[in-house]
Amino acid sequence: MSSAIALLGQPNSGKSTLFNALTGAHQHVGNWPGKTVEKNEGSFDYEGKKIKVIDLPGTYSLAANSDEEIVTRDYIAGQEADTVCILADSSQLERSLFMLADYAGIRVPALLLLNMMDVAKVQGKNIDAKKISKKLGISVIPFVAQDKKNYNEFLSTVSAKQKAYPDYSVLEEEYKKEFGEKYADVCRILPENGIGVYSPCWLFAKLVEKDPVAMQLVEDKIGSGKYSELNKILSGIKDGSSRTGSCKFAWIDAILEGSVKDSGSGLLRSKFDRIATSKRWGKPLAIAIMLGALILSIIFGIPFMMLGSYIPGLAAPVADALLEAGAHPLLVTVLCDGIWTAVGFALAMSGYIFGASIAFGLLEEVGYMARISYVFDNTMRKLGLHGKAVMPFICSFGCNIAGSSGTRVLDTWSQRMTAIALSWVVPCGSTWGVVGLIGSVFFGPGVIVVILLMFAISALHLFITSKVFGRKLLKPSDRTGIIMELPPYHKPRWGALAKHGLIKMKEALKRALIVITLISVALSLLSYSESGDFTESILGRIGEAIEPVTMFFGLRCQTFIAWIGSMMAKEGALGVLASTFSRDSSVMHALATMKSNPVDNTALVDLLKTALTKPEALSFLFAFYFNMPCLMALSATLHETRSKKWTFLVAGYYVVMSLLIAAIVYHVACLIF
Amino acid sequence: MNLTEAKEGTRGRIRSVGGTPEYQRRITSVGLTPGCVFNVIQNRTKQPVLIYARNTQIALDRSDCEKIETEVVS
Repeated sequence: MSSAIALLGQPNSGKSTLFNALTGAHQHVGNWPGKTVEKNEGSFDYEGKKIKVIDLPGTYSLAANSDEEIVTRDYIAGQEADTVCILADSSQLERSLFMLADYAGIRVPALLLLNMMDVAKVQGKNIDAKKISKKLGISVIPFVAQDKKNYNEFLSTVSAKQKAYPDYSVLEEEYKKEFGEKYADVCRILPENGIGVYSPCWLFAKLVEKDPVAMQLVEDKIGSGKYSELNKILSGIKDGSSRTGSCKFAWIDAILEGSVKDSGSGLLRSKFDRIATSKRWGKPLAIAIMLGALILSIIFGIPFMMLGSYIPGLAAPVADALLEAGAHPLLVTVLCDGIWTAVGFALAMSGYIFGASIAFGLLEEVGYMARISYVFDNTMRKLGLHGKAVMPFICSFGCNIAGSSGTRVLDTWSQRMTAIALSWVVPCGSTWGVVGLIGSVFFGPGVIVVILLMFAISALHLFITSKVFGRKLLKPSDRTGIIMELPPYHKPRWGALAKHGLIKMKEALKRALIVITLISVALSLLSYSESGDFTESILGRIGEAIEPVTMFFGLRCQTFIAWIGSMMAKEGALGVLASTFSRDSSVMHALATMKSNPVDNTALVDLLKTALTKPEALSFLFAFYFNMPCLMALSATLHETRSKKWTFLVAGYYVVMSLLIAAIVYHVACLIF
Repeated sequence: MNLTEAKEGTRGRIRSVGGTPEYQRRITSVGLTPGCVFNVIQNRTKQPVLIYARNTQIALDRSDCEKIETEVVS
């Protein structure tokens, strides 16, 4: 029989270092069923036995505050793991043992790893693991996760099956002291032996803490009659969580008493940290470092982007070969213009995702991300969010897909949904190519004014959107303020970062390929005509028929189609414009050639100048800029939020807003020019 | 005296934590409970309050800090 262990610990406790060291290449990343929480699994061999490892999400406690914590608790209670390895950071032992204190009372075998013993020693702390072990009744192992040479004790302990769970009798005494008779009163109503692995003591604490999941569990078990009796007692207990919290820390103190000698001093803040959190210099420093990270993302992603932009160029020779072999032109269009181009777009975009997850993962890993959140907290509060939400906005300047997966750091679903909805205002990297080109064709240096106007409207848009969706999405209870650890600075682990980047890239590529292939096949079919003249295709005819309507927004048939086409991939707008105006190729073919050959725009420039008026050009630019991000970003948002309703509601809102802004800009511009 | 009124560089002790059960659960899990001793590292308007408690640097929302009653420890 194979055995399994689970790694449990607070963020920055060294859990993932241990996980990577144990499992090496034998890893698998998935999602916990029904949740957007990453599930990391792996395995290793020890003395001929295969041991499975689950890396549980890093959370501060086992309360049901977030999906991560619920997933963690359910997994432990399911007893799939033979042993739960609880990690604590020895350099912050008291606080990081809170996880153990929250675990105490769960009757699943566990052992305690006192990680970062080396750091603790440098700080002048002397920790006696044997004494702690005696008090807890479980194995306690001094540990340094970075140093594989000292894994022996851990490996031999974990492979010999552990049977003991932490002794919680002293914790129970603390509860009795704090809550008096009420402890016994509650336990009398609870099943004598607890529920499953949860002891009455653990359930008592969770009930007093008003933990909704635990309350439901108890109600289902004892029936509503007894539960209302229980509720009567519980309603008489105020400030439950801080009181049980005090008990838990009293228990931790009792365990550490006589086992820890601390001759160290308090916090020593580096000069850098003072600057990073300073009121005057914190923001400029953060902006500079984030700009650096954006540039770094693009540099890391360049190999994939180049590969991606090279692929469409190969479409033409393949198409010629197929035509020569006698394939039907429609089939060739779909295959070469449609699918082939799609692969190129998807690859280029996922290249950026790879770069961004390394660059921003780096900021997170060295500990700087928390400082960025700290200095931008006040700004984000104005949008109903808090400092941790700043990252999705920054990532969106590269690509909105990276932005939406960046919201995972937020506490609640509604905060995530709101942050994504707002981050869609941020224009991605591809937007600028189109705005820059068309803007400068029509306005020369005046394009700066156009862009400044776009920024001004963006700020307004952000404000309106936060009001529109904030009111519905963020109830007062969801508007939680920041509670954030500013971790000590660490050295990054490049191997783990690169691995994570590749996983993210694969995920994005897979999803993007499906979406973009479907769309591009549809688009190439709709814009196909025997003669090659766009106006004779289905799309062309529809476009012309509804032009009287779209002209209200200042969009002609061609610019309207380009606006729609840009939803597939933002840079695609230029290609669509070229093809619809030049009347000599299909929309998809144009997308392909624009992508592979973005510099050769002179023909397009001449075409545009004669075909569009200035107000029309402005209207298109604003409709394009404020439209929802591409469909790949939509699909990523759907994946992250798991809410069709809200994702499509937000998408519809953006489409309407972009047309509205275009209409206003057009009619005002008509008065000026 | 609530936490927003605590002076930079001083040492204090938490007397009580108010707010909703959710808030209490969240703040307890980072180690801030009644009786906990802390140092005020940074306390400026328009920035979260920065304290050092149980060997950890923690940033707390200003308006939330009004729910945390503290006393000065010499």
